Amino acid sequence: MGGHGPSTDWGEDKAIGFKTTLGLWLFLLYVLVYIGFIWINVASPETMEVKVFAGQNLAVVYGFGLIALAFVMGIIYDILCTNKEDELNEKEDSDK
Amino acid sequence: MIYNASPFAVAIFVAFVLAVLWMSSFFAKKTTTSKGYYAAGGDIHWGVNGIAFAGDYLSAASFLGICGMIAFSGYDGFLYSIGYLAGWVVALFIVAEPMKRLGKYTFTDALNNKYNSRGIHLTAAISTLIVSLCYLVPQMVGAGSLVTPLLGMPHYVGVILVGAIVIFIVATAGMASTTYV
Repeated sequence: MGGHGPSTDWGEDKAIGFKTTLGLWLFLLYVLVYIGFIWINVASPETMEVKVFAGQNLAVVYGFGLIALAFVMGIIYDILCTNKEDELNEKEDSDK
Repeated sequence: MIYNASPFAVAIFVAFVLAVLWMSSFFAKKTTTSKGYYAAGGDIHWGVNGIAFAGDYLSAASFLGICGMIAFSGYDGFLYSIGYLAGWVVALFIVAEPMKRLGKYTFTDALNNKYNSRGIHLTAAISTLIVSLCYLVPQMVGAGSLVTPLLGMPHYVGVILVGAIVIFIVATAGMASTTYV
């Protein structure tokens, strides 16, 4: 089977360790917040009826909060990874 | 229920289909490599790509599926709308970076590169078919359900028509046509 060539033509990336670790930590954080949402739904569904913000119940606030959190975490991940790539790979280039 | 086709709706639909087919043919001429097919040559701006992702997300399956589940299952259906978003978090934080480093376009490609096992091939193929089937059935049913009141065609004609157009779009130019269409 021939297969195809590489999809990306990257040089050595010194930031890969940082990006992998950051991704795992952010993922773990999201999983914990998500488990909280599921846990309340399973263990105490009536709690989700409680109005918590602007007349909206906990289900809506927590649910949309999860969506907003994913968005914010994605932006944070992108900014931190880009900065780290610029910092480490630039340093590498200037050392040569 | 019997629907009467509106000439105006038919004209808009035909114009839209012709525009889509023309765009796909246009992109197909530029798609000559696997990078061109799977990644549109890497030339798509991240903002455009984000809008395309959002468009995929707001599909018939999402709209009709989630609305239908909420209608039939109440609050339990709402949980699904949160649940499938979590998949993007997994893709971003866990899958995207290693896959890009591997230089592969699909998850199966990446697994094959790592393990080179026939068992993995078979499992990935079966899993892909099952997931695609579960996704495409509501998508096609949704498309058929929209075509019937809009164009007055039988449901199955809508399914075949929309299915054929989608196959043409994807098969001709891959990522480029699916992004812009």
